Amino acid sequence: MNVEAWWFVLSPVTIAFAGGVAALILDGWDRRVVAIVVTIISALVAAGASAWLASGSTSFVLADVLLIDPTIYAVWALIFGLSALSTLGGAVRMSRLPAGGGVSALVAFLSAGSALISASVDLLLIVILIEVLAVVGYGLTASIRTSGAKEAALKYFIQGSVATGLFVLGLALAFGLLGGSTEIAALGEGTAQAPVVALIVSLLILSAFALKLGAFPFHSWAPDVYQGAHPAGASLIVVVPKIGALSAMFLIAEVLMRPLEGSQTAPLQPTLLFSVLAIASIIFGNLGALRQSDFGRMLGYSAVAQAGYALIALAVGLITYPGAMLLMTVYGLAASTAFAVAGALRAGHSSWDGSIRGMSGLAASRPWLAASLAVSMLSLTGIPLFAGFWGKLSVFGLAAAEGFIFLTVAGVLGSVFSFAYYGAVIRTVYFDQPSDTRVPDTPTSPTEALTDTGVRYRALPGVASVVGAGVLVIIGVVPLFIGLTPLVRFFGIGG
Amino acid sequence: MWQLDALVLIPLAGAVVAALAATKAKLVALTFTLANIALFLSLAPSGIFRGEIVHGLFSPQEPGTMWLLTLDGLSLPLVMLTMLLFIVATLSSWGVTSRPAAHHALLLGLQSAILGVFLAEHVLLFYVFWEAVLIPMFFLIGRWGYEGRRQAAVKFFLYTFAGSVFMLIGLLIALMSLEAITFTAMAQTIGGPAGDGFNQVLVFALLSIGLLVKLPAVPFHTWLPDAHVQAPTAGSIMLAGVLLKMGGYGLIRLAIPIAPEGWEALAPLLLILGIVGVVFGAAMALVQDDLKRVVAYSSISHMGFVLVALSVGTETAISAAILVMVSHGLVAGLLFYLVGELYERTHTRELASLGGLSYLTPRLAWSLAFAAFASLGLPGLSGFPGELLAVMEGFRNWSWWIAPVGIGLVLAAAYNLRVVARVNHGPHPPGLSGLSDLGPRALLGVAILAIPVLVIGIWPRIVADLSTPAVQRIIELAVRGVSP
Repeated sequence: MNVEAWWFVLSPVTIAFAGGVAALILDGWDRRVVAIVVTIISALVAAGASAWLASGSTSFVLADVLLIDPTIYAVWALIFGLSALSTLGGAVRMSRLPAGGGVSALVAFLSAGSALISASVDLLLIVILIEVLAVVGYGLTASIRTSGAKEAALKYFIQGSVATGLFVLGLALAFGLLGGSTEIAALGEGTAQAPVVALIVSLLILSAFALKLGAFPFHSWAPDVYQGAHPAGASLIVVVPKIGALSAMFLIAEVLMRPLEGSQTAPLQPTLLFSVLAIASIIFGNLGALRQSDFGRMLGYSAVAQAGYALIALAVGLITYPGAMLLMTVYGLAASTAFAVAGALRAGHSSWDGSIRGMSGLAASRPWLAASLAVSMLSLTGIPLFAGFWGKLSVFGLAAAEGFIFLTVAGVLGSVFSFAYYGAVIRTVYFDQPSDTRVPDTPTSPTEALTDTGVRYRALPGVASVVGAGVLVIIGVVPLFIGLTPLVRFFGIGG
Repeated sequence: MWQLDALVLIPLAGAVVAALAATKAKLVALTFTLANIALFLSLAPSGIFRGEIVHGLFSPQEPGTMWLLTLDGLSLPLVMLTMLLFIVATLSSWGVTSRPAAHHALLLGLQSAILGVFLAEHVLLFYVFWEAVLIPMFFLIGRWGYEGRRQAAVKFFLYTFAGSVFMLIGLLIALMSLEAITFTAMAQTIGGPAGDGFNQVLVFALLSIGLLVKLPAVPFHTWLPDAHVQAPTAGSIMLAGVLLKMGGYGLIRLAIPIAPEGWEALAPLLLILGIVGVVFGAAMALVQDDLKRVVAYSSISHMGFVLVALSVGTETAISAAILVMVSHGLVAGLLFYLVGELYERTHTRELASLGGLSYLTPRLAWSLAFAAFASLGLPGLSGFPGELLAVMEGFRNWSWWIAPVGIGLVLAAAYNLRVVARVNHGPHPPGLSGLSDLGPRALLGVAILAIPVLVIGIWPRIVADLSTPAVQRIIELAVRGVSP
């Protein structure tokens, strides 16, 4: 059939969005659990639909603002899949919140918005979507209503506003000085005439994306949000917009900045810029993460380092696009798994204070959770047999092949260093004696068992973490037999 | 040959079974290890002991997959060593009471990863197994080790991981330049018309950093004493017996054929590192009070001979390196096994608080003496021929520069005899009476390692015959790579 009808092309986003709307309505009747289930199901359906569409071959251009091709559908499948996993991971805690259904709706909107960003080829649409994501992210971060969460949300929002302001400034410059269009491809044509303007425009726009990515020097929101936010919200803020932002950064870098490479008139070479930012992110993230005693903050700082690895790909160029998307996705999966573990530890009347120290003895009390956590940490480090290895290998390997040995060295040294804190988590969980703040297996009180937030859903985050860890192992092992090509090909050569 | 794939996968399946088997895990581990040996022996008709090369299910021409396994004369002695040592490691963990299922499951997982290292033909598969070895070892040390186990586990992981990423960078550079993905193909490309296209000295240096950390060569050795001492007995046996050999194996399998010009250029450095290792390791072993530390430092000394041999580009020298590795695997495995048995009885490894074992526990004492004599290089035992050959080949190539190795040989006699004298002889400290001697199970473990030590000592060609065809091929490739 002719499938170029707009509703068909956009069906995954529509499904996820509709799920969110339904959740909002259900929340009005205080049907929190139903609302959460609806969003999980709609996200899964949207992921399935995207995966099916990704196997097709046609590409669509919608109203000159959205370019959708199988690569984008593959990215969508990842976004919605991760969204479902994150909602599952945070389900118990979400169902406890007074506005739990609304929170799950926010998650759905966030994933739909991120999906659209990854397909946008018009700056005006991008800026609107970024604002939408900022508002949604703000709501998600603050939803837990602790003072820490509120502070984190405010930081996130203010920094986001500044970045959006920069973006709008860049947009205005682009519109006024590069040919009167907001379409990215059209802007590229004006680049050659005005390299300095193009560079300023790119820097302004990239700043906004760098914030979403959590890269240096726009990283300072990350530790607070990771620590303070709702586990489901955090894992989504952390994961989904990053995939969209990275994809968009490749587009901007390629169209607006790459023509400047080697040009005598350009005051700054894009490769140099991305290399410096990559190395700075790796150093800042790693050093910051090493000092943290709070699990969430550690993940937050380490995310800055992970953004640095993705920036290596940007420095090397478009050839690393599939590798970079793989890197970001498997990072997201591992981070979501870690957040699901945190969600499981917070479920029930646990006395866990959120510290790494407080996880000691977890291996004895909850072995599956401990194993998922270990898998997640090893994958984040980039140890073979886990998905993270292939992500890093495809980026660092190409960097070496293209002659950027110093970036490869920076990446692998950062990874080795990261085991100092990722490995410390495993050490605490497996080797240390339980401390006073250990995680007890709390008995369920009879009253709690009667409510819909009770024991029936207690296992959900644990299940999500085990599922996430399982996928990390599968992605880690399967390429040994079928080769890495199918995995990289899945992420396409678009951008 | 499906057997080759099964050699790697059977222990992995065993790990899953053992994890579920609770208290029966040790039987599961032994069964799967023995089954794997039977499977390995079933390869004999295909001529593996006569120099035939055997491939796994996928032949190296297969596109797409990384799962390419090859068994040749270089892998063969090390595969056999690995299997023997795993029986002993399983026997040594017979008495583990803390979570035995997890312990044996990790041991089986370790076996799978190590066999993968020795059989991998695909560069990335090799690296995956190389790193995979760290994971079970990390948990074995950290969970079942002695007092300082938590720090030792992280230190072990970080040091060897840091080394291996440099190896990975070296591999990636070679890989991308040569556009070949298997070891054989890479080595063939480098001598061929395609030329090299990369700085061989840099690649050899990068590969060597990873391999020399593992071996270990002296400036990179600092993880070893901690890891060896803190690991549980089975962990120490595997560390000293097999994991160190991965470094020497990697030099012969990867570094020399892929970057032969780099090897030629850096050979003097290998010699210096080797000599320093021999002397420093032996000197340190002489002044240790902890028995495990003595054995750990003696390992550094013995591995120095491997480097001395590999600094010489002859077939005999590489055969000598393999012989030293096999012999040290057996002897160090035996020593750690016996120290483990000793500790189980006396609850001390301090030389000062031991003594008189030759009349308290004669079987244990004589086994220890046997292992110590093998370690000091007594003619007729396996330690002698390999090190002698290494020194002779070294002398032919480097003449008197090799002389300082002699200090190491003298010190080896000194620290081994010191151990025998302190532990076996003299009056026993008051707390040591009433010890039980080695039982049948423990004696079986001793015999499994002691018999090959004797056989190789009397008839060293048995190892050389296995490895010669593969070594010839590697020398051929390397020579082709150096002279265009």
